[in-house]
Amino acid sequence: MLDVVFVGATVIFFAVTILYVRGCERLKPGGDR
Amino acid sequence: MTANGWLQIGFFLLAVLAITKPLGIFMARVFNREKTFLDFALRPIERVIYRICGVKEEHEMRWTEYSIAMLLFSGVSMVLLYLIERIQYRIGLNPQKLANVDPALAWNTAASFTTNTNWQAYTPETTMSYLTQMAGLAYHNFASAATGIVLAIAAIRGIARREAKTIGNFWVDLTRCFLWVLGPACVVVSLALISQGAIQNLKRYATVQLVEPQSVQTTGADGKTVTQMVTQQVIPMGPTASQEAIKEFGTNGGGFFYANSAHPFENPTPLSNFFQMFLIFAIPSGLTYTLGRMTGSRRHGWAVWAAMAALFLVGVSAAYWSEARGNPLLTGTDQHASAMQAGGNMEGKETRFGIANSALFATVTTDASCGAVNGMHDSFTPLGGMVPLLNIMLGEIVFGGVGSGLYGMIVFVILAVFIAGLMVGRTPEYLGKKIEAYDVKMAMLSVLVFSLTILVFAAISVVAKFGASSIANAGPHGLSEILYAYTSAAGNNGSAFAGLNANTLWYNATTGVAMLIGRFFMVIPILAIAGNLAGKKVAPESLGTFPVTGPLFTVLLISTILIVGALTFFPALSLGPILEHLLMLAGKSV
Repeated sequence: MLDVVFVGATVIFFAVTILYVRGCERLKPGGDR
Repeated sequence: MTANGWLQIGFFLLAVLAITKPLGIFMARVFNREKTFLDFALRPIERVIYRICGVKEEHEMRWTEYSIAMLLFSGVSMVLLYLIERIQYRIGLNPQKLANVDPALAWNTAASFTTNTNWQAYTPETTMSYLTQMAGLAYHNFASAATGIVLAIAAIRGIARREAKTIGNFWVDLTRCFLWVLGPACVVVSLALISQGAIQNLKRYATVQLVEPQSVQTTGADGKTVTQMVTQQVIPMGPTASQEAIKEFGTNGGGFFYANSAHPFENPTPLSNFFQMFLIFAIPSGLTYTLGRMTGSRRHGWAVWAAMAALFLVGVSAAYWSEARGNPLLTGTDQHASAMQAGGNMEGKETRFGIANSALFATVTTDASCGAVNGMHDSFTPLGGMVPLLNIMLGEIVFGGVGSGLYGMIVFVILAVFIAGLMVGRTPEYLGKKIEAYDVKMAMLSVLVFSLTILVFAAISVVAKFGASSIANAGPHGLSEILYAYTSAAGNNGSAFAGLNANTLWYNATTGVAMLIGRFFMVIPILAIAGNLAGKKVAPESLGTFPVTGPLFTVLLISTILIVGALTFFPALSLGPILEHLLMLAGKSV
């Protein structure tokens, strides 16, 4: 059970981080909005 | 303090200075894909790797694609390490029949080694099988170090390129870093460490008879004290030297044994100790020259090196002075160094290395994001222990971790030129490129993520029972233990202050999150800056341009680091090591 929680948490973290990349790009003047 | 100690510190810095240019040139050539003396052997291997993995060598990536490739590589590697730890009992190379690692600890360790932190909330020799150490942890030592280096190279390309949309190819950079920079050097270093006495084998642990049997008292579950004679000792074995090489050269820091570089199988002699410290600084120092060469301003590279060297000297001087001074209240004890004794505060230090080399190692390992230790930082004097803590809080930009030190320093460079621009009332420029609102926002995002992660987790742990119950000491020293843990985690350092039982669900989960945030949430804004700078035109120098090459820039850079880095944490430091120092002078501990 805990394995699912930890692997799931890892996947969620990296998914959020990819969104963070897109967020940083969107802030850029003339970025990908 | 002794002349011998100062000579060793001075010689160490000279050795680092000597390697900076040759290694810097070599790395620039590797990542610019220029000819090197290793091409004849490594180029064919490189081509085969690309063919198998389907990598297109000439493909260039925008910063977003580069970041996502790095995240996918790190994420998949992290899950694989977690799985190896969870099934290690059944998958071989486990002569001691060590059990599968507990889920929370396995996750913490996976996050730790993926992020180049190498925080170890476990005892390696009783927890990790040889397969886990080699295929899991040592692999990540290479992978996380290579990732850090290529991220710094991508950041440098962003500064160096003009009106470009791309900053390189992550897979090509990573492969070349493995093959040209880390792999060959680590083979040589491993052999050098073996020559000094570091072990390298896959044997079962050895059981030997003690020369002097020991009488040991233990308290059973029923509360009764039992006395027994211990006549045998188990001596752990393993493939140590090969892990030790990348542990230092990749500024990873995770020990094969719990005692880390204080263990004679990991760090057998004063010469190996010197060599290890030198390896920790080699790549970070070389990268400053790479920065200068790739951006076409070698003097800028040296100006950055000078800022790092100055901060290093201040740190090591403070640590050495404090440790050599010992406890001034111990008036009845001779604490002076002599031919017969090291003097000063020797608690928690190896007699093989003494005061100077322990203070130097502690400074080097925390200036860089290494985390290897050859003594117990918890046993340092309050001010001596504050030096490693402050070094990490500055962002580990004093040479720093492989790659992470340089890209962290680039953030401070951008803030420094921004401040200089504000002072003279002109648009700030960095090597001819205008620094605009977006670049400064991203730089500050990186700085704020780091300090917020440390302070928020430390604050919760101090006030909550599940956090405070893990500390071994009350008062300011206990605060330092918690503060150090999260600083080490978010700074991806991995050294431990000790005295804190970090192998609990709370600490395993939260230090793991702090490590991931400290690595990825900090580097992405820096890559965003690189991507933005790459697209800019270069403006010609004018009278209003602030030069980033001279002593004035170096002083401004140091000031920015101290103002932004140190003052953020001053309130926490004043309640921890500074208060502890004042209490010590008053003869109190709480």
